Amino acid sequence: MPAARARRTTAGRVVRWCVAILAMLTAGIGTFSPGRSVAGGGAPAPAGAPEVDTALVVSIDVSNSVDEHRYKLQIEGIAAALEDPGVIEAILNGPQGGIIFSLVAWADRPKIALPWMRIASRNDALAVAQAIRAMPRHDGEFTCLGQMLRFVSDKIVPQIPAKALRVIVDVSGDGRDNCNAAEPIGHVRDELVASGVTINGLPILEGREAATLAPWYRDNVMGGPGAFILPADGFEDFGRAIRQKFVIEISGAPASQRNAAKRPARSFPERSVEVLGRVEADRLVLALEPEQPR
Amino acid sequence: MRARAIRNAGRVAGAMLASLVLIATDRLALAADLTAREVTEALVRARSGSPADFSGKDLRFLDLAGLDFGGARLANAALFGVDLTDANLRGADLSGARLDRAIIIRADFSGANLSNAIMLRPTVYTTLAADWSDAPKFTGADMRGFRAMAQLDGADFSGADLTGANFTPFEIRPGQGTVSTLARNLLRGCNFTGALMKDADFSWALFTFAKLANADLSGAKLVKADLSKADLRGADLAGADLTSADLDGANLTGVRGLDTVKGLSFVLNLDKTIQ
Repeated sequence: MPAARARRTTAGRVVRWCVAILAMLTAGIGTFSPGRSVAGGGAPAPAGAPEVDTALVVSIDVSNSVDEHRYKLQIEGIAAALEDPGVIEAILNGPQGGIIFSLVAWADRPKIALPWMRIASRNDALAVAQAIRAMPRHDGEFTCLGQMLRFVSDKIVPQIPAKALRVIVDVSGDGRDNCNAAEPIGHVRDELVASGVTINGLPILEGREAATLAPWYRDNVMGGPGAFILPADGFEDFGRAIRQKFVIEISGAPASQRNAAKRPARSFPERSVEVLGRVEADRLVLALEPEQPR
Repeated sequence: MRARAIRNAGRVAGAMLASLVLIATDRLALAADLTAREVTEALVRARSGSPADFSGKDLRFLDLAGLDFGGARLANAALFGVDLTDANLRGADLSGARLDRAIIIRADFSGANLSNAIMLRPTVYTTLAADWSDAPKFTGADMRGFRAMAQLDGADFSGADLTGANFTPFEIRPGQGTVSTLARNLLRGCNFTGALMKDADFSWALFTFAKLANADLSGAKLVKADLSKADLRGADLAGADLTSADLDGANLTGVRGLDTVKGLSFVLNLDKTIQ
């Protein structure tokens, strides 16, 4: 018996050794391919001091589950949020006094629905809201969230037209990625985060995925400094959620950068938080989890 | 027994290493020279200086949809399977480029240099219904010596230079002789108004409802081409070969050089043309 055990041990050791080498080398090939950019690399940012506080990319789900009514709720919700005095105050109260805003519609293929627009005044905000309401209807079939993030990483972020203190991507939707993408969504999320982007999530809790979507967004979508998710209780609640979300993320500039001469911005924790739960009557009901040490 | 166990373990290790080699080879073979993000960054940098230069680069399978390549250099680039949906390639240099299997839905090649480029079996439409509004634009492009095997219904070639272009369905494959993998190039409803198509070979092509007004088709081969309902007003057909071409309902008003056309006696439905 001892001899047999010795033989199994030797053979097993050899196999384990081979599996370990195979795993290491496969991982190496997966992360390095000729021409693959190093995480965090990118086009040189526009020279000079930051011009805006935030470059905000809002991405909305226009897949098959988003019918005409739900689409309008999203569009109207975003437009109304940009007209909200609280949101406008957050936009104008940052150290640079403005943001740039873009909107991406995504389903099978992502598409720039609204190119970059600068918001540095109330009139600017109202103009962007009007432009959003005037956008042609976008629709699609599948929920290719990973492809959307890849699109943002490859084509949106490198072409941000102004230097921003922060780059934030808003992701909202009512379902998980269902596109069988070759690239795991977490991989492209991590790549975006590594390049300095914050991804906030707004899962729309309606339908058969309502019970599981928020945790999925937390695990697969949310990422970066100060990232959070803020669920909407269905499409009817989207307008409320997006407005609150804008206030939190736009006013989330580090305190040291806020212009003391301006009206004080609302105070929000500077550490990364995960927001779970409803916002009730303009009070933010938070379930806070402190940022994990890096 | 011990030796057998070790031999078996060795066989397993060998199989694993062989798999690893195959994986590595496959990944390296499919890898482009750049990522889509690097291409985007290069295009952004180029806006403030000299055109972006991807000449000779391998960009295969990259998703480059929607990017602005206006004026960029892509001479001899490998664009196999590249997604160029809605891409702006106006004035770009794509001479000698390979665009086989590329996705060119609504791509704009107006004024581009596509001389001696090759485009075999591209994807041109969003759906199987082949909506012609998805077709790419080649307005005023330099397409001398261009080689295509494609369904390009609805595409705009107005003013393009297609001198010596090859739109036949035949390929010469070493060891296999001449093969045809596409019955014919589909150019229905295409706009060739004012295009230079001198000495081009469009044999077997389907030109139904195509606009060829004032096109220069002198010396062109249109053997067995279907030109039914095509608009050939003012076109130059001097020395063109129309053997077995179908001209049912074609508009030949003001056509020049009809008396020097080859194979005229074998043209189908010549009596049904509009002259």
